[in-house]
Parts: sequence; C-alpha cells; structure tokens
Amino acid sequence: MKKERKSRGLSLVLPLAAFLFVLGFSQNAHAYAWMLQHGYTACSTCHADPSGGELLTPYGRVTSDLILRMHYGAPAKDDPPPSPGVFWGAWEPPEPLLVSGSYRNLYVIRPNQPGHEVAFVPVMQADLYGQLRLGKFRLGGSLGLSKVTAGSANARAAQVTAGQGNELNLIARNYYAGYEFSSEFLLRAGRLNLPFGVRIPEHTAWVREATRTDRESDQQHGLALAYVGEHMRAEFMGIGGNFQLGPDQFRERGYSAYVEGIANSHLAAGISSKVTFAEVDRLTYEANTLRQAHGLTLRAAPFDNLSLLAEVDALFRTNADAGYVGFAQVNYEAIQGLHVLVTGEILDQGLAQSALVTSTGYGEPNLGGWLSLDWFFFKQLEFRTDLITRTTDKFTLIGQLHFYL
Amino acid sequence: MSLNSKTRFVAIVLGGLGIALSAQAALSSAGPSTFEFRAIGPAGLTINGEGSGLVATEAGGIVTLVAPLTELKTGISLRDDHLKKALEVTAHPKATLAVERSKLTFPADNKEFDGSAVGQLTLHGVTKPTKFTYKVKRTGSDYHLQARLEIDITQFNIEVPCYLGVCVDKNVKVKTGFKLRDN
Repeated sequence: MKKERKSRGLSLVLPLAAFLFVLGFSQNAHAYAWMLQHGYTACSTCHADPSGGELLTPYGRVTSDLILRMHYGAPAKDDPPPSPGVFWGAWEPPEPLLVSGSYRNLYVIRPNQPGHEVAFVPVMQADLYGQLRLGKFRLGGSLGLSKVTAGSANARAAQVTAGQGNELNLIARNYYAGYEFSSEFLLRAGRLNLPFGVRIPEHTAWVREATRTDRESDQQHGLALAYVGEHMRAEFMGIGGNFQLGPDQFRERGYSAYVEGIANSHLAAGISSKVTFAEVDRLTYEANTLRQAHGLTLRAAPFDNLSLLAEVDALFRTNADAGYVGFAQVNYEAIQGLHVLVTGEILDQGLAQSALVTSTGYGEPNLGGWLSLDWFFFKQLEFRTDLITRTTDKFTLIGQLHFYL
Repeated sequence: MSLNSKTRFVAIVLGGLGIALSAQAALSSAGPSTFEFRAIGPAGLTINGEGSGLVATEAGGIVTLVAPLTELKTGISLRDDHLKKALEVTAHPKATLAVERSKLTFPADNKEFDGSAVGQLTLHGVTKPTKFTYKVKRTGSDYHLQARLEIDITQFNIEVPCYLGVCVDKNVKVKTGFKLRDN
C-alpha cells in the first residue's frame, strides 16, 4: 500500500527505542557471546585485521580448530595439538609471515524469479591473503578472482582488472601498510574494510548493504587507527575514496568509525558513524550526495551457546527523507560446530524527494527473515545454508561451501 | 557483695567464658565455593578460568585457604594443559593463602564488612606476602566471603605463558567466594 510523504521522525524513534529496550534487557546476561564465550572479546588475536575478518593468525587457526569446528568421537589423551600451519597444517610459514585464503561457492534457489530459479556459482570467492610483519611495520593484502554477471554491483568496486561483463577479473579487497604503536594501537593506510557496525559475514544483510560497509567489495582507501583494549575497541578511518573506481567524481570521501565498550566477557555494545560525500553516487548516479549512517550495536550472550548480535542505524542522504536499517540475529550452537541462526532485518532507506509515493524499502519498511544452518564440519571447512524471506523477495534458498586456509 | 554486684560478676564471668569459647572456635569451610581467575592477553584477549574444591581451615589462629590447581579449566582443553604446565601442577598441585585470623575483621550478625589484609601466598613453591581485598557478611555463625587478589606470576617464578606469539600479562586476577563457619 502506497502512502504519501510524511514525517520520518516516528519511524526512526521506534526501532531505536526497541534497540535500547533490548540493550537494557540484556544487561543481566550471564553467558558468553559466540566467540566471546571463550574470552575472545576482540578479534585481533585471531585475525590480522584489528576489527576482525579474513586473514587468520596461527593462533586463530588453532583456535578455530579447537572451538569452532565440530569434533567427532572422544579426544584421545595423547592427541597432538592442532597445527597452526596453512593447508590443513601442511606448511607453517615463518613467524613474521601470515598466509591464509578463502574459497566459497554458492547455490541459489529462487523459484519466484523466472529464468533464474536455480543458479550455481562455482567461485563466489577465491582469495589469498597475506601479511608480512617487519618489527613494528606490517604489509598486507589480498588478491582474488571474481566472475559476476554483467551489471552486478558485487565485486566491481574491488576489481583490479577492468572487465565489466561476466568475464573473470582480478580483485584486491584489502591491501595496506601499517605501523603498530603498541599492542593496542595500529595505524594502517591502504584499502581497508570500513570500521562500522557488527562485522558479520552476511554481506547481503541490509545493515551492511545500506550502510555500504560489507567486506565483499565496500572497502575504501584511507587511513585507519585501531585501538583494541580489554574494555574497549575502536577504529576510526578517514576515507579518501576507492581508487579502484573511476573517475574521481564517483569516489566517496569522509569517515567511518566505531567504538565498542566491552562490559565483560559476554556483553559488548557500541556506536558507529559514517559520513561520506560523492560528486556522483556510483550506484544511484545522484549528484552531490552526502550519505550518513549512525547507529548502535550489541553483542551479548544471555545463555550458554546462545548469542545475540544486533545493530540499528539511522540513514540520511541528500535529497531523501531519513531512513533506518537494523538487524537482530540469534545464534544457537546446538553442538560444537553446528549453529542455528535466526535473523530478522528491517530496512527503510527513506523516500527520495523526487519520488511522489512510497514503496517498500523507500518510505515503507522492507522486512526480512533468515533461517540459517552453519556447520563447521571439519577443520577449515564450512557448509552454510540460508533460507531468506523478504517483503520484496519471498523465497531464496542459498547454500555455500567454504574452505579457508 | 550486693545482688547487683553478683549479677554483674556472673555476667562478666559468663561474658569472659563466651569470649574464650569464641576464641577457641575454629573457622572452616561450609558449603560450596567458587574460585575464578582472569588473565589478560594482547589485543583484548581475556582468558577466564575457574577451579574447584577451595577449602578453608583454621589452626593456631591462622586461617588457610587451599586451592587445588590440578583441575583448572579455561574452556579450552589445550589451554588448560598449557596452564598446568606453566604452573607445574604435578610438583605444585596447590596454592595456599595463610592469614592470621586477628588480621581479619568479622562483623556482627547480619552485618557486612569490606576490607583488605595481607596473607602469605604460596604458589609454585614460592611464598610471598600478598595483599587481598575481601567482603564478608555474617549470618549467624556463617561468614560469606568474597576475596580478590592480583598476582604477579613472575614473582612466583612462573614463566609468562605464551602460545603462537600470544602471551598473557604477568598480572593475573583471582576471585574467590566461599562460606566459613565458626565451629
């Protein structure tokens, strides 16, 4: 049902109030959140990126073997400890060198899309990651392959080669030079994941798409200072634009940042903020667009093996009403290595001033729900399936096989 | 001696007897106990662990807490093994904290007290004076205690545990909760 333009104030206040209610309600949580349940309140013990994701440290690789994946049978007393080496322990790089990689394929079933009911993407992701540490200095990056359909928004922004059709392209999502001032402070310059919101792997989740902060290809060039401490973690990035895109008028410039307070090993809450300006928006082609996203995040574990992740962001952009986006995800680890996830999401990007009537997602909320099964069935191997229903797309079933080095 | 004087005398004698009996009563554990520790690593790494079987006894005016170290748990078995190796629990299976009872304050019935004291902590075969804070609440003859201390493990000749380049801080926080009963 279409509605005429109206004040967006209430639309913004309601999800924020709901979020704050959840935050208040969760203050008495007593168990650990997902990886927090093992005392890992921050990400950089296991990942080279201080805010998490991609390149694993040897400690991270061993930790994933011990507590992430499913184990079969009772462990023998004299079992050797897991190897920190890559290729399932076949090679242990020298200490200053981190090497890792990730491969994903994708199966999609969309019965409501005639002609595209079933799709198989043999290579959704094929990336190699590395980092060399020279004293306090770090040099790192990723290199991968992508093959997406013509017109796809995915992968394009990370392309190194210029193909715009469905040919194979070389991509580089991240690369940087960094300096470690201390074990808490890391300064990096390069193409980096944007520090914003909850760093989830679901790059198509609306919180990541609407804020343009996914790790699929939304990285930008800039300078980022990260802090990771016992009770707080934060990262601020000045965005200079994505120099893998051109011409310059399409580049977004501004900042992206988050601060998360860690109350204890099972509760953390934060704020995120992002403001960028582009002469021409690369996706909507709107001129002189200022985009803003400001929001709150929550990570908590009210019970053993059950965690809650949530985020709500207010969205603002030039020539449009204010909007909002949010998600909440409950993750239940039924058996070590087998996760059942239930996710709810909401999106209203705000009605563009040029539009006369609202539509779903633009002046009217678009609602989504995910039911997911994530099975870390063997060392460095994962199978995940998601059943997704959204107001605008009633049924999508996807499956992914993922292995990481 | 007047009646009032006799009454006062009897009261003083009985009161003195009560004090003597109280002084002879010894504290010992009653009910369950908790024993937790927290080690901090780099980049936000927090290792929470726990033990069990904390026992308190009193003899000769010294209250002694004994914590078994052989069953410490951190949630990851490999980490537990590393911890036990660092503590050399085969050779040193227990940690003890001995405190003079006179250095502790025990409140009146249904009252609470927050304070600190110094005891002799024996860990890894090394004994050092160690300050701790405690909170105690009395209900009848039971004292409900929470004690906290921070230990610099290097002072006890324990090597800072490191694994795959990740080392924990030398200062480890310990928190205990237990109930003592005046027997």
